[in-house]
Amino acid sequence: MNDSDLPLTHLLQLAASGERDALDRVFAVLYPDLKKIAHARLRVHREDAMLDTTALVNESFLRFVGASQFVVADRKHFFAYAATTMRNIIIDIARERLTERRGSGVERLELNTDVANQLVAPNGDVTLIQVHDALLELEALDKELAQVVEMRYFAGYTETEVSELMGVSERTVRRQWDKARAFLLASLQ
Amino acid sequence: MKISATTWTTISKLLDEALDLEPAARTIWLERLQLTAPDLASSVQQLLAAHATSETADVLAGLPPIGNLTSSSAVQIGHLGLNAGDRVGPYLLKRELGAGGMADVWLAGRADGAFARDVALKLPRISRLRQDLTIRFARERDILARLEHPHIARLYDAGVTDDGLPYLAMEYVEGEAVDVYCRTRDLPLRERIELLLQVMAAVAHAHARLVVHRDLKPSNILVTKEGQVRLLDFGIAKLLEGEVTGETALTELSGRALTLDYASPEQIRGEPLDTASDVYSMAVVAFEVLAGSRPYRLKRASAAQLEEAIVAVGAPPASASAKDPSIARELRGDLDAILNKALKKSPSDRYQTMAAFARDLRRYLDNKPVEARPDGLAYRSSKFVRRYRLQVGAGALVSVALVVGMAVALWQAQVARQQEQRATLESDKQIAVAELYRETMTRLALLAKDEPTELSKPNAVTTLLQQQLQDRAPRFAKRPEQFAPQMLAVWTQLSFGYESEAALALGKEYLAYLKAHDAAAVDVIMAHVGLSRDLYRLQRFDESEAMRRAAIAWAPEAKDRATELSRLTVASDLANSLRARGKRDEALAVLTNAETLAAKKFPNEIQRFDNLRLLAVFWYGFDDSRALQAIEQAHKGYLNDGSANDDIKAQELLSFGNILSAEGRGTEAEAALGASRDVYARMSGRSSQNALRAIGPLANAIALQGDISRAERLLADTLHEVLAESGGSATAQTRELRRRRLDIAWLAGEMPFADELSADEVRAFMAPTAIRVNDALLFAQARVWTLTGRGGDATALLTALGQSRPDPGKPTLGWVQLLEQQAGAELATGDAAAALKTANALMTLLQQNDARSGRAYRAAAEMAALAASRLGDQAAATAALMQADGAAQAAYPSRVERAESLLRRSEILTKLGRLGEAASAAKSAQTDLVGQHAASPRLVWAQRALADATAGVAR
Repeated sequence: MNDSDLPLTHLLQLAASGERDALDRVFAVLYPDLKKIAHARLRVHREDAMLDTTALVNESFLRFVGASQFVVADRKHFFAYAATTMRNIIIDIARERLTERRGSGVERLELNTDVANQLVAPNGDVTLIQVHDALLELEALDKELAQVVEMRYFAGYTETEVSELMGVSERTVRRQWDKARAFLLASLQ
Repeated sequence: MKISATTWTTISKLLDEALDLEPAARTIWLERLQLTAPDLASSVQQLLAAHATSETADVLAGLPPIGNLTSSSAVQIGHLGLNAGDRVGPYLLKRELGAGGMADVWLAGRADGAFARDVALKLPRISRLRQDLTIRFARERDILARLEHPHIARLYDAGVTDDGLPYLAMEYVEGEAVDVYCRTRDLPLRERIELLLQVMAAVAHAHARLVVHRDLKPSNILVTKEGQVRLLDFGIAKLLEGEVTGETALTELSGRALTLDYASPEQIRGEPLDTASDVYSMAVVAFEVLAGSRPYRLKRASAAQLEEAIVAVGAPPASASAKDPSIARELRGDLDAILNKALKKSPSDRYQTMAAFARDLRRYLDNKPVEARPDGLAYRSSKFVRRYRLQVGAGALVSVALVVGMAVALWQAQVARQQEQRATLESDKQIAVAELYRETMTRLALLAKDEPTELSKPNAVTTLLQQQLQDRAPRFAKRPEQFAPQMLAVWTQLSFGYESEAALALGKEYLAYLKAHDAAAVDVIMAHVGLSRDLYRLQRFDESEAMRRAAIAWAPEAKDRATELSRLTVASDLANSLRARGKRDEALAVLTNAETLAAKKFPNEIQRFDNLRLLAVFWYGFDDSRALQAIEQAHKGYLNDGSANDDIKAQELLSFGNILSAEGRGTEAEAALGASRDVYARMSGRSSQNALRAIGPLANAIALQGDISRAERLLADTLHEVLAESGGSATAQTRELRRRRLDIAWLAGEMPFADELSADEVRAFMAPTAIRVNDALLFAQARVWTLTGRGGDATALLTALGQSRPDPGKPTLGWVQLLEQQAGAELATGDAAAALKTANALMTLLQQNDARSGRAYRAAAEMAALAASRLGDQAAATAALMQADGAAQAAYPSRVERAESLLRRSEILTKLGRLGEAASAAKSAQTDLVGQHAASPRLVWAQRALADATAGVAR
């Protein structure tokens, strides 16, 4: 059976569960796109944060479906996968930047300053890595909450989009976001 | 904070509980938790505190900026990590101002200190320029550098560094993006428009120098603290476009994603751009600044879908996009139209220049009518119906289609009128009316979407239209000359829709409004015309006539052309109503006066031909030769003029054909009636009631020529079509066809009469509620009964018909025909005394109305003579016969009618002892009766008449 006959969902599942071939295949097609989107997200200034990530991911998805002739079975999995990938890319970029700035390997920074301020402050690489680390903790406790953070914060999907992708109400997403944010902030303090 | 997975589940639930509470209530809740679950309470408290912090500090609201991405981040974009203090060309970087998809921007100063002023140094995120393109770059730069305008941020310098990096040094502007500026200050609409006008002035200035901006968007339009606009990046897009060879997919992707919203359709299609593209982008900006949202904002749409929307989907009205209802109200109308025009997909449909766009906005601010015309109603309605076909139920669709159809008709009339009168004043009025309709269509569209059932309610559309009119009244308080036509339009719509009561109310309001604002005499007179027609429709005839007399008497000093023509229209209306109600003297006076005036001053105006046509109708049945004379004149006039609408054309041909039939000119009648049928069929369908108005007379005209079978075939075919189309329920049409078949059978002398009404039908049709509707059919039946010797039945029926008339005894065509038939029926029963009385009454009536040379008078005189001769009163018979001879020149519609006349004369002459003449009359009658049905009673009648005459001779 040819891979390209597999439904996308299945392929993504295989990729997610570490199936080497599937992973490579998906990765090869998607990675460049997602990387571009992640870059674009990091470059956009907060004030004009009009970058519509969803639109970009959607385009990437369409291109992916078109190029690989996969059956369009489940867009949700794609978006979830894209969010995870983007998170990884962003963290990679942040680590790289930090390395450049410090001239040394990544180290966990101890913070004396107010974390809340730190999180909105402009030296992004540190912040990103901290959030990522805290998110790993949260992931161990509550996968769903972590996924909301991944989608909202790293991938930049809107509340509505997240609710649609996760199949829950917007209210629930907002609540999950509130709790996750509280957790991340508390664990960083 | 260390939490285990199992504990987290509990904590998570507790958090939900706490977050559901008001912040104030949480303290008590926490205190209680400390008592019940002290081990969890501290974690929960910590999380709640963090929650409060994250709320106020907006934690994780977005990704933190991570500065310039290095080249090692795999994507070939951006500059090699520039830092403050770095040198780019002659500039020294001071601090980064921003980074976008296309370029990084730094605050910079001249390294050589040549200018004290700081500049915004734009460093395009493109790879190095090819050497051969630097020349072109420099040329473009020079053009841009010459753009000097108070609202354009200057381009001071542009160049390429030694290592090939392009840079642009521009005026550094401290300000906010125009959309943010307006939003945060909550600026009123007027001030927002003033800002837009500044932008447009700047763009127009550049356009005059053949520079296109290509990237108009709010972030390029800054407003300074002083409220002055500065337009950034003029022409930069062009400067950077095309030359770049190594442009990455990313700049394209993110660049496009960022600016797509303002791109013109031609820009998206990648076509060459000119100033029209800026007009479009400017309109999107204006839309956003005024309505608070962009015209195209598709939820969760891909960029591809947005592209498609921009290229293919029409922009919604700005008023429909505004969330604030008061702003929506302000946008509705002029501003909607202006933006709509500027947002047209096709560049040629937009404002031709930015200046024209600005001028229209200025006109709006000055309360002047704007140039932008709403899309033609026909166009929008068809789109509208198409778009909502699915939402609107079938029933609603019918009513929508109907109303839309009417609206379109009205629209066309307005367009026609507009072409006639090109004066600005007139077009301002047209604009106001058009705008009213377009606004209503918008409301309708919304209604159809939100509450489709509302739309299917009767008069939903006109109700909306009236509302809309009311809403607009205050806006036009100072422009009565523009408000009045809107009232008129809505009123006309109501009248067209037969909502006569509502129409009447609005019409009266309109008339009062005109008088209060010293409107032109013609407008006041035409308002009377409309009102009198509403009243007529409501059968309030006296009021209607009073209204018409008042119209004729209005402002006698006004002698301008339009006013005098409007008086002719009133004259036609008044005369027609007077005639129908038997006030013939006054009707004739009105018609004659009108014709005298028209012949002198307006010999070739359609109003004159209308008047002549009504003059023909006036004489029809009384004196057909005079009717023919008038209708021939009218017909010729209409033909030459060519401006008559279908309805008038069809009616005129119908009158013409009927009169030709009465004058026995069957072939010509057939041609005219066929033409009338064709026009009606085109207007309303082949088997419509309208078409039937002509088909009946057409069949009659064919039968009059003696071609009975062809006439019958026409009726049978039509019946077939009517039934097929209506599913057998078209009572009005079938009634008309049955009546015509009876008429033709009567003419053919068909025995037995296959189509005769049954006794039950007659009873049913004669019920007080039904008799007026069925009178033509009953009348035809009475005639058949007279012919077949059932004179008693015919007399009873005719008496009932006479009593049912609204105007018994009055000199109307109906009454004349009734009396003629009644005299005939009475002769058939052998009641000569009654017949004499009836015939004399008819003669008197016709004498009084100057109709002594008509066919009806001759028939009446003959019957009077016959009755008198049967009563043995030879003197009276002779006198009456002479009176009949006075109308000898009158034509017969057909040979059958001539035969009947001859047979009556034969009997009279026999009784008078003039046997030779009697015999020859009978013989002539027999010749005329060739083609009668074999069992026709007329053949028996003719044989007996000849026998009597011959017997008399023998005696």
